[in-house]
Amino acid sequence: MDSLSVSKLNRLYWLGRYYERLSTTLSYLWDWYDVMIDGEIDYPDFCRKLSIDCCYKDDKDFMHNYVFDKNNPDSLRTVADAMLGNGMVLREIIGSRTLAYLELAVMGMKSAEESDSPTLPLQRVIDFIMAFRGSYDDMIDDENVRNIIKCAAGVERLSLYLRLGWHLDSVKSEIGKLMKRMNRTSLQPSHTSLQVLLSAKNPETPEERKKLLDAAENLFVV
Amino acid sequence: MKTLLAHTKEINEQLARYGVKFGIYKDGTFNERLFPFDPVPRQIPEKDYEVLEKGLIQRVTALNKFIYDIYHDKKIVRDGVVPEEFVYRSPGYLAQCEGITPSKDVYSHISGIDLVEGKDNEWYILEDNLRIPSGASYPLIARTLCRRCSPETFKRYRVRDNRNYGALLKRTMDYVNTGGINVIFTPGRYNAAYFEHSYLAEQAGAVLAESNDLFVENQTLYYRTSRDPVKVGAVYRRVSDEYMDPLCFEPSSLIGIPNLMDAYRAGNVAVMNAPGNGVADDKGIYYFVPKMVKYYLGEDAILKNAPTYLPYYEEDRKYTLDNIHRLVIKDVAEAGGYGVVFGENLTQEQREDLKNTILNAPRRFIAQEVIDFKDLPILDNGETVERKADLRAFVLSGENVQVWPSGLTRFSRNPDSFVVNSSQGGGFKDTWIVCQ
Amino acid sequence: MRRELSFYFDTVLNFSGSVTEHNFLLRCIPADAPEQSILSYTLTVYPDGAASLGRDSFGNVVRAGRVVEAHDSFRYTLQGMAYRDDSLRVPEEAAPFYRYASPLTQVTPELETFYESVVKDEDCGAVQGAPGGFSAMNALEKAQILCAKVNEHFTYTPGETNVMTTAGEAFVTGKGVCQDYAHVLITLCRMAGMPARYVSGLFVGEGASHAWTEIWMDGLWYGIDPTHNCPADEKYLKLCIGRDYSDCPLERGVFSGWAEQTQKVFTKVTD
Repeated sequence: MDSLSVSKLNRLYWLGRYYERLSTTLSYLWDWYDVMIDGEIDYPDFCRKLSIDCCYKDDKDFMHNYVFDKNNPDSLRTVADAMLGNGMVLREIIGSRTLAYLELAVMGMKSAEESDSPTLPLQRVIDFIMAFRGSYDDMIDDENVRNIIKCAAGVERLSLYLRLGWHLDSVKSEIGKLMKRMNRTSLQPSHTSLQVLLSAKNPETPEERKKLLDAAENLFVV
Repeated sequence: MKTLLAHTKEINEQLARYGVKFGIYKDGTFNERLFPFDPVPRQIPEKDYEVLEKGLIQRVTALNKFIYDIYHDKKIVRDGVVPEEFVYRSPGYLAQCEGITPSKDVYSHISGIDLVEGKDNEWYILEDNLRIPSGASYPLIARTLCRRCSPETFKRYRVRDNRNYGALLKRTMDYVNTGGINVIFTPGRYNAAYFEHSYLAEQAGAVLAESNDLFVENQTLYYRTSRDPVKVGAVYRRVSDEYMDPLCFEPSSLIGIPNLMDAYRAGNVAVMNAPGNGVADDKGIYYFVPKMVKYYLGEDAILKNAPTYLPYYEEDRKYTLDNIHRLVIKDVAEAGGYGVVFGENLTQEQREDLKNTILNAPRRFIAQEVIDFKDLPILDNGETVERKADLRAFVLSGENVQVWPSGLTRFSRNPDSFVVNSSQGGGFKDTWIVCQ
Repeated sequence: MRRELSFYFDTVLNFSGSVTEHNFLLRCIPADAPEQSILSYTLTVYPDGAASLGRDSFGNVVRAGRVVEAHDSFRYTLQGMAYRDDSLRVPEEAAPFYRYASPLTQVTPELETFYESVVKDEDCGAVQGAPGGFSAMNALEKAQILCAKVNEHFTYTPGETNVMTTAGEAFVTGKGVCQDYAHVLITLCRMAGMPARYVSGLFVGEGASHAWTEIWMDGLWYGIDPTHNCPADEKYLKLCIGRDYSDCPLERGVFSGWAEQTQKVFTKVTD
């Protein structure tokens, strides 16, 4: 059967967004563990850019709670749980073997929390997500399904780059990849967003970033 | 076997990797936890299994005929084999199912028959589960993972392959399918057996759907997609009867499909298992199953019931009251290991209370001899200890009735407990049918 | 006495907000039977979606439908002509489930006590002119006695009960509407060992829909109306039956959207 239910489509989309949010944010924070050894990190700026509550006492508290606290709705652990939660209801579509990498990533988050040197276990989490990416790309026959996940991941990556002002020089090429993938899905993009993205160049001003961010976030109404 | 045990750690890691979990509600919150797996398998020699297999096929065949009969001519009641009130007072009997003939006359597509092996080497039936028996997924995935962790073990022992359960389930669904896709209908992610629902969907190549994904129009069940709706020909529903259709049963159900019963009655979709099956797996009806086998098949039952007394009958009532200290008393309206009382564990005062309760509502209870069942070895922190265990055999009814050559062996965590139920703690084992 | 009845039954559901994905099941189309032949009828439903007709396990005609589009009211109107003559009834067996307690007609200690007091009451034999008291009566006579007692016990009080109220609950308060009267009478009749069932329908006059009881004796079903303490004769038009109300609501629906629902019913039956 090549038709997906609306709810499954929704799940696929959020699966893509959450795994990308987890791996890209972890990669971004990766260097902060190093910075913290002999300096300070600007976590309030980070929270502001992501429009999340800045409820952390200090650097250490931020790096622990933002990453690991499962009761913090903004934390990466919550993102990881949401990623797995969406994956679990897609088992018959993505397959148990692929789903297992999401289980492993969440288990990895748990063991990193218990470790006094979390960078190495977090490296494993990123590894598992990379394995998940390879696995779903390789194992899922349905091109539509594969590309819905990829599109969502592309939207998330763009969104994070634009918010954090990170890798802005690759924004145009990320948009190009997203457009190509979109054409291989049953997703219906918003016309307005599409126009903005199709004519985009790498952003230089905050206004340009904001405009692109809105377009990316509203590209698919799922 | 030693090699298998040596790989316990790896096996558990594999189970965690594949998310082999079941959910429990405690104090109103939902928690998932790993279903503890014990690597020592229950081994059943093939020649013993052949007897079990015959007996189970016979029993399920009779049960299917019984359900058909109850919702049509009721011959077994007219002929006085089963007293009328045991049927019509059963909470599992649904008048809303009267006269409905399911696709290919199959009612109990997937039956979970619980047995124990006594110290006398005899198998006894504990209960029949004909509504939504769960558990097949656990030994199914455990086998795959154990083979992966310890290939030597499976070279040495010749164990009947059980990894065809998905194919068997698919064949069962295809046989009754009225045209359209196969769907497994789950109450959702927060159901205790969600892992199983999603795993079986994958294994049987079926679509996993929640109520929002499905709707009925023109007496036809459809799967809602982002394009055109797709007709459903068979729905393996893991939602209980009373919540299945808010327009026919419990009106407040939010997990049902409105007018599913209307589509089912019109013969446009197969519902597996058929609603109303509860009339045949009632603890009170259990007593009559050997009589059903005789009545419908003209054969003696191959598998024994645990010796059971119905306080409803005067002679049995007297026996029950006189021997209450050594009997198990079961409330027929309760399920899942609840409502089971061991007379020996009661104080004198509690026994008298129970006697009075039985006298006031004899139809509500059955009494059984406590079967001295064989303990099975399990690993507890590296040590081998003995625990009570039962076996849930899965019998699939499609074009023919087939037993899955494996089963779910559950054991109690607590050494003193006779109750082996995953909703009350405890773990599971794989079940091997071993060729000589 | 045989009659030709002209019937009109109109129900409007108003929703406080708009609702979508409205699935419904109507049981208001009267079954055609020897004692109640339906000469003609029309049922209009608005808004209406894909519709289908079927029959449920109690023999009722069921009319299913699904309206996907947003709407804030729902209306169905039945009208037609029926010919009623109870002398044309054909003997039939009573389904055994009509002898047992159903979800809304479970026996409670209060009902048991009440039943015992009626049975023991020696006067009831004298009133009926049947020596030997209650136990010597036939089923219909027993039902009439029980009907009178139920009627006497209750004070007709709208708003005290709802469609989920059980016989036991209504009995304790002694207040209720026709549905509660019928449930209590059904429970008592079944306690007396006779098959009994719930009937939803209309009767001659104007107003709301009505509910009463039928009991079975020697192959025939007899209508008996505990709200008015009288036989439900040819002035009554049967729309649907069940073990109790929960088997046979005239209309049941589920929809998406948060909305309060109010209902307006108008019926008119003339002969």
